[in-house]
Amino acid sequence: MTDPLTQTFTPSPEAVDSSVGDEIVILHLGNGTYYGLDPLGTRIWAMLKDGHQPPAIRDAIVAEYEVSAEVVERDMRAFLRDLLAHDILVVPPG
Amino acid sequence: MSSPTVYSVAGYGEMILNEPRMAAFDAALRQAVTPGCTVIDIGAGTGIFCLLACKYGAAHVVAIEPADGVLLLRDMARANGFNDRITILQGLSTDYRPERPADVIISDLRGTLPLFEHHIATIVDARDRLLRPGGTLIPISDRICGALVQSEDCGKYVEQPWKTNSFGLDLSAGHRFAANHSQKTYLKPEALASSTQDIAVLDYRTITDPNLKAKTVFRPNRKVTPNGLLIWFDLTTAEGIGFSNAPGQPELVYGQTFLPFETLQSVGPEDRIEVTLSATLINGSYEWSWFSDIFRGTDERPVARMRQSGFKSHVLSPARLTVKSNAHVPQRSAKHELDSFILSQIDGKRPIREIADALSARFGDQIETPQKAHDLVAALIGRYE
Repeated sequence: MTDPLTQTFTPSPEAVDSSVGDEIVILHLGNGTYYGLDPLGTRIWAMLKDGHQPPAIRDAIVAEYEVSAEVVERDMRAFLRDLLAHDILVVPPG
Repeated sequence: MSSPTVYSVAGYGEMILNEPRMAAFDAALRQAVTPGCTVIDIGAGTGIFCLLACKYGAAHVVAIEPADGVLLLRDMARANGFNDRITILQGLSTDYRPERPADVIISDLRGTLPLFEHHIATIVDARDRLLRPGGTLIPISDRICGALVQSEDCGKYVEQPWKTNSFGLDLSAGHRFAANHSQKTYLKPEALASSTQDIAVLDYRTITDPNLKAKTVFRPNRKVTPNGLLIWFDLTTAEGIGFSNAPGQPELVYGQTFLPFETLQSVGPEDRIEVTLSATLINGSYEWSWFSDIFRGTDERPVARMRQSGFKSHVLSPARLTVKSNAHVPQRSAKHELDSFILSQIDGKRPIREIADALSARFGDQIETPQKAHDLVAALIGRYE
């Protein structure tokens, strides 16, 4: 299985999000799935939407949350795989 | 599946009086019904189409309607001498298993737009399963149309009280939710800021996909600051027969749909706004999205992009949505115990009164009065019947 931390992603054009406070709910218009993100997931999602890729996101999270890179990488892999499985993140063409 | 929409008798009456709606359905029905034929009316309401079908010579008419209002048809069928020709089925057409298919199927299952609840799936099922080969569907198609609009009245709810209010309070946190809220309205031609564009055609004789996604280019008809998009439908009940819900046409019960723009930009006839409109059926209701790009002149890069959706108009709690996830592990609560007990008492013999008494005896510490016990039992049983 490819390590998602080494891949390039973009939010699916079918995914629309709505935020309240520091949490976000995403709706995938194509498959009707709702997906709720906690504050950390919301932060990662915002950076993905801004075009940042996993290595840069990892570095930012390590700095902002003062957590070890190993912990962040583990959690990010699970998070990114989950978003990919629900087609909320896609690999851009080309 | 969500519950079908329920109308009042007064609401049904309003629909019967609404012209040119009734004239278009009446003309199509008069043309399609032949002596001795079988007609199915899906979403019959109080049955006006059924009565007309009998009047024009149908031998057998089936009125299918989940709401209690259809029971009024019994009296009206009798009053018109049609009671031996009309069969009333209170339920859904998808559960109907006739002995033979119908010659004509008529329905009007729309809301403000024809993409409404399970309308499309119902039509597809009826066409494929309930209609004989060569039979007649009424209506045959809907054309969804739209135009840019500039309407201060219509868009007021987007700006007020969120951006301006008389209390001097900062309510701006609500603005982005209001800016994604679509509204039923009825606008006149003066509000239009572009020519009308065709967005999509729903041909009920061939349609299969309940969802819509279409990109349309709108060109302003003058220097203007459009505050949204107006969409409506033109309905064809039969070839050459129908009506339009457009601005300038007689106001119909359906209304038109206003989709606001979250940012306002001045544009002119040399500019264009490309809108990708999508309607996705999720859990029995449509999520509408409108993604709009504003281009200056012949530029290929937009000067503004808006990504709007009715989904974004709702204040949603991730915690409340989590309980619907496949991975969520529900915990048993006192409410679960009450409901489980009530359901266990249903044996086809005990009346509600007895079940309520048993509930009170078992859970007296949680249920203060016999009336509350009765209400709990009746409410739970009502969900199944």
